[in-house]
Amino acid sequence: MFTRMNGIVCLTMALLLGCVASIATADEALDKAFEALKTYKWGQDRATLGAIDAAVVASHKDDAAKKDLEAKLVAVLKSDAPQAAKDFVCRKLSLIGSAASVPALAALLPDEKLSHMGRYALERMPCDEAVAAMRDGMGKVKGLVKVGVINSLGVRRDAASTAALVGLLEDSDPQIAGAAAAALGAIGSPDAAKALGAYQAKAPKELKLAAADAYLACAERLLADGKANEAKMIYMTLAKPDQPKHVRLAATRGLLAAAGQK
Amino acid sequence: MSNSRITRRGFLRGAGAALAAPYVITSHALGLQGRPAPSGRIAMGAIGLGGRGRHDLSALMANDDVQMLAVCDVKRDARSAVKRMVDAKYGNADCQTYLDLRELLARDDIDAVLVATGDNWHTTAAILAAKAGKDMYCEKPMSVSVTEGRALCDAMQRYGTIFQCGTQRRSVPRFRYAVELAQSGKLGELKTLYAEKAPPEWFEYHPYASLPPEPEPPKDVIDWDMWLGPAAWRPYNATYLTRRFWMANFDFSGGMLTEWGSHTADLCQWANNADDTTPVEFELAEGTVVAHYANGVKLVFEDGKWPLHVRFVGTEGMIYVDDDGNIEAEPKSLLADRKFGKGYPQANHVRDFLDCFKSRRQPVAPAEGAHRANSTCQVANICLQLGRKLTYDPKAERFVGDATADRMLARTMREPWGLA
Repeated sequence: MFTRMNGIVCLTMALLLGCVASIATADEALDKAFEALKTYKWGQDRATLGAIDAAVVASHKDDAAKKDLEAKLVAVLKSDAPQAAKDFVCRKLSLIGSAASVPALAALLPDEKLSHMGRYALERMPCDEAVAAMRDGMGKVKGLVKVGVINSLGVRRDAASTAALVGLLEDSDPQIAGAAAAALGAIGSPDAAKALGAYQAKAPKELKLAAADAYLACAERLLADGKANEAKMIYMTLAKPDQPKHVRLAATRGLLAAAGQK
Repeated sequence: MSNSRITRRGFLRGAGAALAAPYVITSHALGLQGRPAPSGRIAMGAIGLGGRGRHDLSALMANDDVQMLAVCDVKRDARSAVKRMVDAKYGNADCQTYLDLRELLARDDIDAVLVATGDNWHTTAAILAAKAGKDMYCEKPMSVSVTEGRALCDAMQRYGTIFQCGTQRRSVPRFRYAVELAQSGKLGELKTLYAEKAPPEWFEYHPYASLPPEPEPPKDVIDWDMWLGPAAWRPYNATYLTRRFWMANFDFSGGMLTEWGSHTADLCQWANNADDTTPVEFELAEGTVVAHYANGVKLVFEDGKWPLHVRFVGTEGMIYVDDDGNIEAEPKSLLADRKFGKGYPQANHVRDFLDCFKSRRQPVAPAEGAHRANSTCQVANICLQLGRKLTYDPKAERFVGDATADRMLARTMREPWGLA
């Protein structure tokens, strides 16, 4: 006789089996996606990697799953997988990457083809190791790639990079010097202000506006940090007649704001 | 912390208003008949000369107090075609063409620019223009991430730049009337706002799709590296340059949510007096993304279907407005004998920008409002991608208790491009 209790037991068993089957299916799909990733090239169906997208989202609040995924992604990064595959990996690590991913990502920084995607992940990762890797990497890279690393350190407002950035203001490549000035402006510390102040007179003609903009940004940071006097000094410098009109107006606005902050 | 301390953003806002003084003499002031003398015209350049760019450029040049001096695009055909348009309008051959926007922005004789590039470039181009001292009419959506939008606002505030976002429905009378009804309390207590996403059938590509490599054209024909700009590199394929592809791709745009949401969510935000904030909670409900403001008002993103429309519902009434000129209200007395036109022309919106250029007042679609509307769409996109309820702090512009979502608020720009 099929009792009500038997029915409940059967239903429970069926649900459990269903869950197990569904987990097994998900695992299989994930394995298949990682297999596809190893040879993934531009133009291939992006949906073949969908199981990895889903696993990354599902790993929210599941540290073990996150670690497992991270390890698999890093393995692809260290392999000879195509550029499109590594591009994908960096995007995923930008979401779940931890200090464990940093060495593999840092290794991409000097690579002209993958440096940006390495930063794409490192810049988003909140751990100190990520910003330290970019700081260390800055001295080891050249040209446009260096500009990118400097930009990322500016985004992270890495005060520990200040001395190195100050040195780069003298770089013969105007893109590097301009990026260094902008990063110092974003850092916005008294040390950065001092360096940018000295740079205003020295900046080559093509970098005058970039230098002034960085100095204005620095003043805003100082003002927001309650350092009104330091900010005022900057604004007074930039309000002088040797500056273009829009810079003078910006500086005059800054002076008004600084005057309102006692 | 002392009360006298101010935040960086607060400083920028306050100081910007303090220095809003006119510095252009208008044709009225000059007392001239007809077209203003060259010294009374606004000298402009246009950056981004695709379909939308040409439309905007024509709307700007329809004003006698505009003189278009230069045009810029990474595509040679676009540069040549639009130069012909401009020269034909003025009966000369003076319009200069540029491939690199930085060269156009370096010209001292240009006062203001049109930014009508693909979405991926809006923030970078706008910030470079502000640093060069140019005011601007900038197409929507103004950024592809929340962080970029904030950087754009900071730059506009720093320089007191006159910035009009291309959300032209803010200058279309029937949309304005709907917003006024909501803001004035004539709908009662506002309860639910409906903002459309762009029609799903427009989006045939995966948001992170790539395309197989094709031979790259010579730089002078199409500068592929410049077209990509701050976006991640990939090998050239002509389909990337089509609107139907890039509009759907999250490296270049924000998909259906920002495509129409930058208009519809913008109007909803405006109706809710929320130009300086965003909803605080986002969840997947009712088969879509539903967001909740701190004041209790609900924002529902609906699947889009032409004509683009918005609907505002309050305790005492409702109003629906669309692009075809339809306007419906409950009670019907809210409309009385009012007559409205059709379409969504931008003549008023462009005129507002030009007038504000002269008066130094901010236009009807300033950077902060456009940023907040776009942020609402960007955060809704993050909610969709993560598939979970998110709490958002509009003041800090960060999520509450979701570190992964926080990481999605910014994108790293490809060298040499940056936000600072």
